[in-house]
Amino acid sequence: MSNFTRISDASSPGREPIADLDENDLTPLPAALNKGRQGPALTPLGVQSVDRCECGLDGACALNIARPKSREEEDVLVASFLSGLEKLFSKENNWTFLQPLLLTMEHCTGCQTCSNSCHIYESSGRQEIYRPTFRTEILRRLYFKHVKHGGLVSAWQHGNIELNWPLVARLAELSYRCNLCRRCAQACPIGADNGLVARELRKIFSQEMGISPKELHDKGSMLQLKSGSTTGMNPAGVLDNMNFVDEEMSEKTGLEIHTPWDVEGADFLVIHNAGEMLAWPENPGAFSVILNAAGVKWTLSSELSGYDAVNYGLWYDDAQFSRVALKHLEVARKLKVKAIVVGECGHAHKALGVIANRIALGDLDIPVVSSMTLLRDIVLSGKLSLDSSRNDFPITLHDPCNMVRLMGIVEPQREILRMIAPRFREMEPHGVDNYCCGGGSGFAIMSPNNFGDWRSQVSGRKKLEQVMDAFSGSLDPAISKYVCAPCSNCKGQLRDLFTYWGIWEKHRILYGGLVELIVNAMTDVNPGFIDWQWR
Amino acid sequence: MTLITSFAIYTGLAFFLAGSLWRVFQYSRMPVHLRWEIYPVPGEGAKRAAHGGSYFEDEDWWKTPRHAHPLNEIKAMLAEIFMLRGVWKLNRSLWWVSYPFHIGLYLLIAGCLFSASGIVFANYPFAPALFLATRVFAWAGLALTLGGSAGLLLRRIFDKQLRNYTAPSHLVNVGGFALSCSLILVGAISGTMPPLKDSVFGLLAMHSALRLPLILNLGLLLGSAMTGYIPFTHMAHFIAKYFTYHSVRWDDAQKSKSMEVHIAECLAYHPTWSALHIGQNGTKSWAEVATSSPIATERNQQ
Repeated sequence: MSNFTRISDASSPGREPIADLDENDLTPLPAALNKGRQGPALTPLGVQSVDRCECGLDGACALNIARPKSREEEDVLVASFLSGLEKLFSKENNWTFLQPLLLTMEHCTGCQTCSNSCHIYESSGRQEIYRPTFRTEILRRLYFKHVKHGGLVSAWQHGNIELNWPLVARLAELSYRCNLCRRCAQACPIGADNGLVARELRKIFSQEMGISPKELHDKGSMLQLKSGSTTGMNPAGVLDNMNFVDEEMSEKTGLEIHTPWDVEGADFLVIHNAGEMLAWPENPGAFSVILNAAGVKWTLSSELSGYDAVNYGLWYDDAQFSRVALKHLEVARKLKVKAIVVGECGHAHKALGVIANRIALGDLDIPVVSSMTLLRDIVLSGKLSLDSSRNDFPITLHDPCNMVRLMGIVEPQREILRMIAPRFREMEPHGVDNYCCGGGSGFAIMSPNNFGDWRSQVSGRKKLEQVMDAFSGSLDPAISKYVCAPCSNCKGQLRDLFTYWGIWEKHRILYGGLVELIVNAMTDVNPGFIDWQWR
Repeated sequence: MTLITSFAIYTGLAFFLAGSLWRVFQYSRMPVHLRWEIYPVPGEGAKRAAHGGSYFEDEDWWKTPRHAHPLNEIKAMLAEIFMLRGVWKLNRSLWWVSYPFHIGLYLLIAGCLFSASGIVFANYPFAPALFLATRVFAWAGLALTLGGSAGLLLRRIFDKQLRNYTAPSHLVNVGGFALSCSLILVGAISGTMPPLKDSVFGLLAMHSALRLPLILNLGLLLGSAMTGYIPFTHMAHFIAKYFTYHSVRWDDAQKSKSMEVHIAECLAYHPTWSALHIGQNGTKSWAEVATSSPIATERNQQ
């Protein structure tokens, strides 16, 4: 098949997908996984989805946008998009990102250097629609035509595109085919940022049209602002859960574990991704073991939103982002802590440490510290008695984009691993050049229709290849292997990716956090903290 | 004709300067944005930038004074400006045409500066050396710019992956450079030229007696038009790049007092986003939207 899609195809009137994903077109997998499958890469969409939703991009469907019932309804939606487009380029509505957005709109030369750095574009067999510049080119043409009102000169200077409902619907889906890892922006010689463009497009759909993935909005930021957590846990629920985790940890480690709550004047307020408490309770449990053993003055908060570091607004909506971030800072202010420590959650690191930094004014300007650096200082201080031979199995490290490329926290986690993991090996490339796990920008929690297939087949493909390469030579299932991913969303993606490809059964590769490895190496803890069981 | 060329050169330069200043003014007056850096940030210092680290790697970073590392930034900038390092690393086939184009333009700019200096310092003993440098830089610059722009033009026309993102103006842009360089080269080689010093002086002084070959005049006219036109196109990325690197990609600066004042002004803006959860009732400032509950506003509006 031809995987070439012209820019103008995006506004073609039919509802047929403008790109067709065939497994044969995707990049070959490592030999051990090459099942020789042929045919569509994605499970075909159900009849109901095709009939009721806008799925005219690539045969996947992330948003479930209802089809308009009439031409008039389409026109209203297009007008709403246009209104959002104008607002996106006004300082009153978008002072938060106007400068980087305009620089990208006005100066990308279309050299396509960025394309060679995009794991989605590459993994898809270079499908044109996934090229980082594809959605940007559409937005650029719309910007010059409808915001700058360039007329014929604009069409000559920047190209033309017809604005219609099929285009808007495809752009909405297309904005959710980017992990926002910004590897493309890192590669751009001009400094243009196509990752930002995907995020800004999402803002038009959310902030103006009320269109967003329900996992990020209704079940994400809205639920968090209402109940305190995207998991739906209220303050009483989180206390219950962590008490249970304490009991489990005490039993498992042989130490008496008490997680401190709401301690005013503590040095550090630790905020975990609350999803850990339900999906991987050993992670917050291991934090409690380490911080208590090291004598750190720390606390968790049971106040609404104070116990869930998640901030999904980072990926799609500035208002929701700010609301959640300000709540986190307010909790820390009330507790009078010296600093906030973010647990093993990449996007929460960046949300609170970097993006919220400039709206944290006055007494909300509270320092944010990475758990990686705190843990590094504890491990190197000698406060814990560690025996690296307890971690004598192959370990590789996944670098969460938000924490590493977008925040510069690269070495602390490596310093720890070099000390406690004798068989640690890097993935290639790694550090700030890493590849996204494929679950970035909210994808890890999104699996509507066949979007889960898309994550495992396309966006996660590069990471799968990296993991397999890192363990080449020890892929025998008799050897237990561990991918250290100090980020909840990355772990969620690795769980789904490994399940899809049968990685645990075939190769016994487990994923988990960094703190579990530290506790596993602690000599005053019962041996065998890491459970070699799939979860 | 040559008088027209002189006038075109000054006009082109005036447009270039005015357009460039307008660009700088436009971007520097933009509201402060939220932090959006990408690592490595060379301002973190050579040691830390080598692995892409930031001050967040220090636990007590807020207690430690931060030091600027301008030399490291300059080093990174020079590699990008004079070697096109990013394109070399990730888009090698394009580098072979993009690099001569850019270096050719740098040499042409240097050649122009040498020739103008030759006029200013005409009575100094080193003036002949300046005109010799002018010849070397101008010939090399013209050849490289012509080769690079012709290569870029061909790539834009025949390379499917570039063509999808090519507007008619892009062809005119690189085509304009190729044509202008060709005319200047052909005019200078084939026609009868006065001595270089006299030609430069005549053009700068708008000397009506100066006679240059017609083709050369046409080349200079087109080159002047291109010079004046650059700032109004995406080719003004030499200006944009300062902002994309220093104000976005490498900007991990903590808030200053003046920045806090600027942010407070932004927080007073009145956004008009329409989605229900934004809860804009026509009166809320950005700060009020950010501190309001979307649950309550959705309930009220339903």
